[in-house]
Amino acid sequence: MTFESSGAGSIGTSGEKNFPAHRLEFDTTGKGWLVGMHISNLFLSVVTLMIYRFWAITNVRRALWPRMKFSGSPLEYTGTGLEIFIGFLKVFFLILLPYSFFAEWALDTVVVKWALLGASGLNLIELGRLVLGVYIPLICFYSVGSYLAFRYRVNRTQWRGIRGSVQGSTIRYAGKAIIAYTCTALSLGLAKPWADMNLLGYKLQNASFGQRTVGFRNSTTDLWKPYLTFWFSIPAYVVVTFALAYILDDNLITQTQHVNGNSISVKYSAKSQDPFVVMLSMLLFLVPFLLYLNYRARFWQNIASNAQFGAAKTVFNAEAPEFFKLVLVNYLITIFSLGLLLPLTWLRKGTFLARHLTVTGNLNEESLVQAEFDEQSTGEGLLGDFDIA
Amino acid sequence: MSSHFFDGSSPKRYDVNLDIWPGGISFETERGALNWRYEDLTRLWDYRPGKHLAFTHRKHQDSRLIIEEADAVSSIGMHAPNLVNRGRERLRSVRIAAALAGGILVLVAAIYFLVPPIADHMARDMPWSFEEKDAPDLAQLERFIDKPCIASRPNQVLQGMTDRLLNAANFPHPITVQITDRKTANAFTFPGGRIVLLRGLIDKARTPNEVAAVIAHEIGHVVNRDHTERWIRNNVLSAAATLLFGLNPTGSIGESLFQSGLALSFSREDESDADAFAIGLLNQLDLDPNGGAVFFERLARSGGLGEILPGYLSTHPESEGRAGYFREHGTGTKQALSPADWLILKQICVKPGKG
Repeated sequence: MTFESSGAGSIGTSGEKNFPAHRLEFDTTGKGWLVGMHISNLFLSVVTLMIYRFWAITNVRRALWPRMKFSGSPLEYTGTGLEIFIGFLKVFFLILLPYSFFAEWALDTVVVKWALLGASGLNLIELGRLVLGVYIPLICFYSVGSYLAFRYRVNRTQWRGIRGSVQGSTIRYAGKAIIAYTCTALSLGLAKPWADMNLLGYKLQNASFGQRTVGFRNSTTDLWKPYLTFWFSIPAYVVVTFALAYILDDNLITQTQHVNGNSISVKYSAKSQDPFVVMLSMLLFLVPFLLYLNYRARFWQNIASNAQFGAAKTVFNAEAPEFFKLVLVNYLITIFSLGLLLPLTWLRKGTFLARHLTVTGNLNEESLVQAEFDEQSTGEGLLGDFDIA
Repeated sequence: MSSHFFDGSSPKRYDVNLDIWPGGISFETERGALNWRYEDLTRLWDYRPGKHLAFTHRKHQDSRLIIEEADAVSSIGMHAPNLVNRGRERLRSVRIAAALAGGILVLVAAIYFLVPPIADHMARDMPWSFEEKDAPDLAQLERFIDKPCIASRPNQVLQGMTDRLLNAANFPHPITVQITDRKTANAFTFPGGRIVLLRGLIDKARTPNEVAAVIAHEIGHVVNRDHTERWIRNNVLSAAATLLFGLNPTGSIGESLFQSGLALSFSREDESDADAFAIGLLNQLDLDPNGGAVFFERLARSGGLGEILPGYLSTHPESEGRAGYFREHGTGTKQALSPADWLILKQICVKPGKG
């Protein structure tokens, strides 16, 4: 085995010793203007019974995208409020309205009976009706919406005039989502890392910039340990909280409850209402919360380390405490300003992303050429305008 | 600080020297000379923060010309002020919002004025079986309305009075009237023509015509197909609310206000229509309307939630007004039951051995 073929690195002209690093920069100037725009958006949304939200979110994106500079040039958002509004109308009339009638039929006949008679009153046909009428369409609806929203945003993002685009089939994504969410539910959440990675992986594998496709390798190897730590922390939290309340308690209350005609004696701790126990349980809840943030940090690190754009690779180096600080401070800003200073949280997110995401390697700008315009994407559907996609 | 150009085919940056003339901007790249006239330029107002001008060409919207030199910016401002002055652009948001607000006013007005008559028409055309299938099993509702009062003779008296009202109503489908043993004074109409009066209403009534007026009012709800009409209306309102407010959690307050506001208004209309129907029925049978008026006057004095809330928050019209309506439009003079039968009806919920 030669040194070159050992995988330990290469020597000579073929090796890239000094990878060029392309740092992102995020401009946080003009905070006052941004807050003013946000308040004006809120006002116009209220006076138009929220319909203006499509134009409001466009204003926000047009203000935020250009603040992110890559290799000295800003990103651009070229979407319009009218496009998103038309996309919403399409989804509303073609998907949401038919679905609401379909779901009402299923819920009306099945869930009402379920509520009145209990699970024993249901037969398999009715259960099938519930799954086919409500559960599967709901996942399809959410996942298709999520994919369309992602596609729209990427398609309307430009850098130095080069457009992003997303190919791939929304139907196939919906099929993957049905499998992913069902497996996650059946495994009591254990399959979440696989589901998360699979769904985001499909989006990224179908994304391009210009004619160059984003390379992405699905891998969950590094995710299981942080995720399982979080997953097991939930029952541990429940057990510890109850145990603490029980140990600290000197006054157990017995209450008789009537369930389906049977009397059941339930003992509960008077301390469960004690402010000290409540505070303690809230503090303890920080443990699973931090473990979840740790999983999310690992998830995004994993996504970045498995993504490639030509010869360039991405690295994301934020850790859980930094995520926690971002989430906590943004939450406090939002709560204490009653949402009026929300733009500051956007700026903090942008700064966080720019600080922690690095692109290394040669972008080969000469070989990056424009792609044909994708005219199919005219809007984001229902989900994009709410930023939940 | 320099001017640069992206040709829209690749991300390559071309640093350019500008020649600004009254009709446009000329510059040269490795790919040749370009002359862009002002009328062909589109200003990219939000290209990035900071002082600069960013343009694209109308015929090639992927290209970008970025101008950063202060003297070039002022020269262009002199020749083509619209490309520099953002005043008109800023008003765009207000113009869009004004147009949307106008559209919404039209939509809400259309819902307010068109939905009730259309829903009413559709409800009357819906087969009765549609409503019948929603008829609740009263045994399941016993928790809320208690058991029916089953005293035999009083129920015969009730049936006699109900039959006279139903004959006058001439409704082709069966309607049942029951009294249940609950002390609250209230009455309900359930889908499928089931009317339930609570015992409290009989206890508090001073004349049989109070009960007759209430039953006539509830028959009005059945005949007007209010259950189906409400179902249609609620679906339309829910669709309109989702259309306006979307699925955004922050829009849910507005959505609730919008839906409830219109639904309450429509509900008050239903009640007024049922009152009108009841008056028609009482007049047809020559029954004294004062019973209905007294009932509503007592309701007004009761100081219940419906009487305290402002009119626009109530499901029913204001009780004093309803009492006045009964007195004003009623022409009848007779009582619905003889004094003897009225005393019998008053005993409807008395259990054997307690009377």
